[in-house]
Amino acid sequence: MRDLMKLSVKYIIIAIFALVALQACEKPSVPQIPDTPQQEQPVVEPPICTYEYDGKEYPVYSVSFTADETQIFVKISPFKKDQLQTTYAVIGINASLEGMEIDVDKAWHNDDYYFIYEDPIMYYSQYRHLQSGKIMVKSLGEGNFQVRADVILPDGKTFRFEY
Amino acid sequence: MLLLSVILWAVSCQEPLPPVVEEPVPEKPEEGFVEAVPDTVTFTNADFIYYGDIAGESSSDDWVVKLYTDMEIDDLGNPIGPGTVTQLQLNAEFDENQKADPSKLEGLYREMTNSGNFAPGTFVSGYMVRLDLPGQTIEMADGTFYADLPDGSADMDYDLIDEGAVSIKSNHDGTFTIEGVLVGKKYTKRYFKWTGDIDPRNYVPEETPNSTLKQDMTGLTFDQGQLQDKGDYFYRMDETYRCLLIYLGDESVDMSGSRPSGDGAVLRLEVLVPWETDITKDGIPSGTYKMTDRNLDTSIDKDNIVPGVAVPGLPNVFAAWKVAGSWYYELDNGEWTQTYARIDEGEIVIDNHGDGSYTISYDLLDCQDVPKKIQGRTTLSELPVPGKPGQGNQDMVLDANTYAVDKEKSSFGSVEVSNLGEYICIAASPVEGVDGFDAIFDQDEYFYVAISPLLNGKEFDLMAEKDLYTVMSTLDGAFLESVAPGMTQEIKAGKCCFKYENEKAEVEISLTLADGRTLAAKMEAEEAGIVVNENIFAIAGDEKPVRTAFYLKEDGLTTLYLTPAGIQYFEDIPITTYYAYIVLDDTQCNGRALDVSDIVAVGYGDNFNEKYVDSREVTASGSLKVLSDPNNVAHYQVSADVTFGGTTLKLRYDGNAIDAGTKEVVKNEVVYNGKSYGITGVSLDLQPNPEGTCGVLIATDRGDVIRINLPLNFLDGNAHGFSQSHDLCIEYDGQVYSKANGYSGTVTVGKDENTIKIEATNYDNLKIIYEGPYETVS
Repeated sequence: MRDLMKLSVKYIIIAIFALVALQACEKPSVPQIPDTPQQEQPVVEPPICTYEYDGKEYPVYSVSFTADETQIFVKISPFKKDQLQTTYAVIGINASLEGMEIDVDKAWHNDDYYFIYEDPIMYYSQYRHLQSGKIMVKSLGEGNFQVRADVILPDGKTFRFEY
Repeated sequence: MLLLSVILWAVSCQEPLPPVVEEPVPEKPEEGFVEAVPDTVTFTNADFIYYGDIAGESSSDDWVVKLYTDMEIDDLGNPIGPGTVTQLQLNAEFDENQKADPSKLEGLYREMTNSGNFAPGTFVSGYMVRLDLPGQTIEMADGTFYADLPDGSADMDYDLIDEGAVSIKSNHDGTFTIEGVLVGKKYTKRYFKWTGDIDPRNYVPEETPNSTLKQDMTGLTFDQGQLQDKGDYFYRMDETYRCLLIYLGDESVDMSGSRPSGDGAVLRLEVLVPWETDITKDGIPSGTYKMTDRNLDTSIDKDNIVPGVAVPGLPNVFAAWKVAGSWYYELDNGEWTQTYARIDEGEIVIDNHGDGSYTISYDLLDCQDVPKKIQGRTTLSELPVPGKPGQGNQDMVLDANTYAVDKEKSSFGSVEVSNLGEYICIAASPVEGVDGFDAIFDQDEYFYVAISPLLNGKEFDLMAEKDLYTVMSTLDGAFLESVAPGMTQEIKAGKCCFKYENEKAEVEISLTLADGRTLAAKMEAEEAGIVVNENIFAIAGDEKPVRTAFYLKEDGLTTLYLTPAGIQYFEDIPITTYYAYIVLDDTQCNGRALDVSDIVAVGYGDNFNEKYVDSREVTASGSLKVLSDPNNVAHYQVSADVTFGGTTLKLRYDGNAIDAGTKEVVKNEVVYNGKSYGITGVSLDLQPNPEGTCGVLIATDRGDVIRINLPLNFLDGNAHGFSQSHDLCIEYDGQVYSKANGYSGTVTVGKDENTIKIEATNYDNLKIIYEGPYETVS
């Protein structure tokens, strides 16, 4: 399992490089395999915001943005940046659609928008088609963004996030 | 991760907005965050099957690993839940010895990058298969899948796996550990682990030997025999020889049909005799018949197909209806046992006593590296000929357009002849006044025979014939769903002679059905306009009709291409199975016999096996004639018999050829949802981007634009499937057609300085064809 873990981290690194390089069509990581099950985290300070997955609300302790002329990505996690983020979601859009509400029914998956969600139990990779919903990412200048995602995942579960 | 997060991810200092609260109200977060803890299934049982190089690419070997938890097994062998099963179909390291070596399984396996890439270190995605069983259809998973079995149930709740990773490692104590995490169509991570011994079963099929004899077979005698006339079996079509088939069998062998059945030993011998031999009058001419030479590619040179020789067994063909040449075999209830031998050398001495009796001596060797003898002598008081007058239902003398089921005669009231493609067909019904070929089949009772033009005028044995024919019957008491080469289960024996010439068809057929009843029929009908394709293309004796010919005249040379493929354009020659060509001076197209050395070249291409032979590169011998019609530039007659190092090429052609310079007329169009739209412009977007991709933009007269995104190296004029690249997709009308979105598709884009050629399809509702000018955006 330890070797798999090493490989998994390697692929996560590759995936992040890929995201940063805005190579949106590269396949993301192998699903992460926690070396040991994650226990309750000693986080006590209030979260930055929350997200909803499958009807439950979860705290967000890290939000990261990256953007260039063609794409904008947001990564959120209930873990802080200095922790292994075994639960996370990535929301991305084509930069030309910045500030616009994207209807995933009508937009082009993996071109107009991107979505990944992973936790220790579930994994919706970049190649899974969202059922429906809307995504909006708006630049507020100086590296700040407004994000809204309200989508139905491939298995019918809900995912909502606003920041 | 921290370092990466800090370095690579921009940090937002934006104050958080209040959480979105919508109906239904989600559960409030607890303070902090508690991450779910996954379960890891520890499998306790494993089954390993090694299938070897099933892809035939010598790149990887196929293994199927089944892991399952302890479960009860029911009477049918099905596991009963609660429990869990997973099957891993792995592309492991290739073993050139094709042995089930567990050490070759070690490694990390991820999903295949596309369905045609069997690279080592990948697993095959899960898929469902349907099994049609009598009265029911079963759907089950295959490939890589995961399944839970509910308590008390044998039903598997499948999750078809298409993402994840599996590791197999040796523990260096003889055991291995398999662990991983897999994700499928249910998006749930499946963590699992197994440790134990790998004791694989090797399912790589063993090469079937052509002889299983362990010792010499001497003093062999038989109690009965049978003689059959195979005519011009090798299609020399020059009436220089006749092939006779002799069966010798033990008393317990059933010789009543055209192929021995029952139990006991059989010696199958083929000898070639003069064409004029009439076996019903003369029997087998006395003499010594020495086994002729068979080439490594199993063909027999034309020079060796002459009277006075015997025919060695055809290698590697064991099906009873296909076996050819000389063999020794033993039967058990009509089936070959494991005792058999392909005869390769030796001689047969026939002593025809002139009164129907024979003494047949055989001193033969099988094909093994250390050959075993098959020796003996048999004296028979008679050597019956199946179908000879006085036997079976051949004693039925039928008038034209009558038939007999179990010797009870009836008449056909309607008989029609037609072409179906190049096949010649006759259909008859007892009902009078049926108008038209198709209308025959609307009758309750009908009888139908169709033949390949290669069988026209030949009497053939339905049990042994390899060229295409079909016999169907709904006649009362003689129902035949379909009898065809390789599909003769409905009959025990049968002979047919189908002749169409001078606008008249004459068909005589005699059958013994599987249940022992007999059916004989004689049909005649006149019909003008039936086309008989007598053009022949044969490589190594494998005869096919010529369906297309091309001619090319350049620089005083004529090049003729012949192919069994029905194609329209010369550019399609590379996609045919076979083709042959002759290059000669224009002045040599005069119908006179030429030696191969007289002409520029003759050759053939076997695209399927990627074998290409040209008389300029290999030793070739033989002769040919080419005649061009001075009144019709497209009409050619060709006759060629050429041998290339043991492989024969035979061509017979009389007909029009297509000018090889005729170009396919491409209609530029987009077909979308069944409607055709014109293309008003095409541009190539070569603007640099990090993905290394480009775009082809196709403007339609529908007023919109199709965009094809593809990797730059796909601009090579070759067809590329969606599965070859995640970057390959077609965007149109708000939809992205790509593998990622679950679509299949193929895109071909080739260009030169001025012209771009595009062919693209999603195999569903969108097809694009364009060849013409384009603009470049860069």
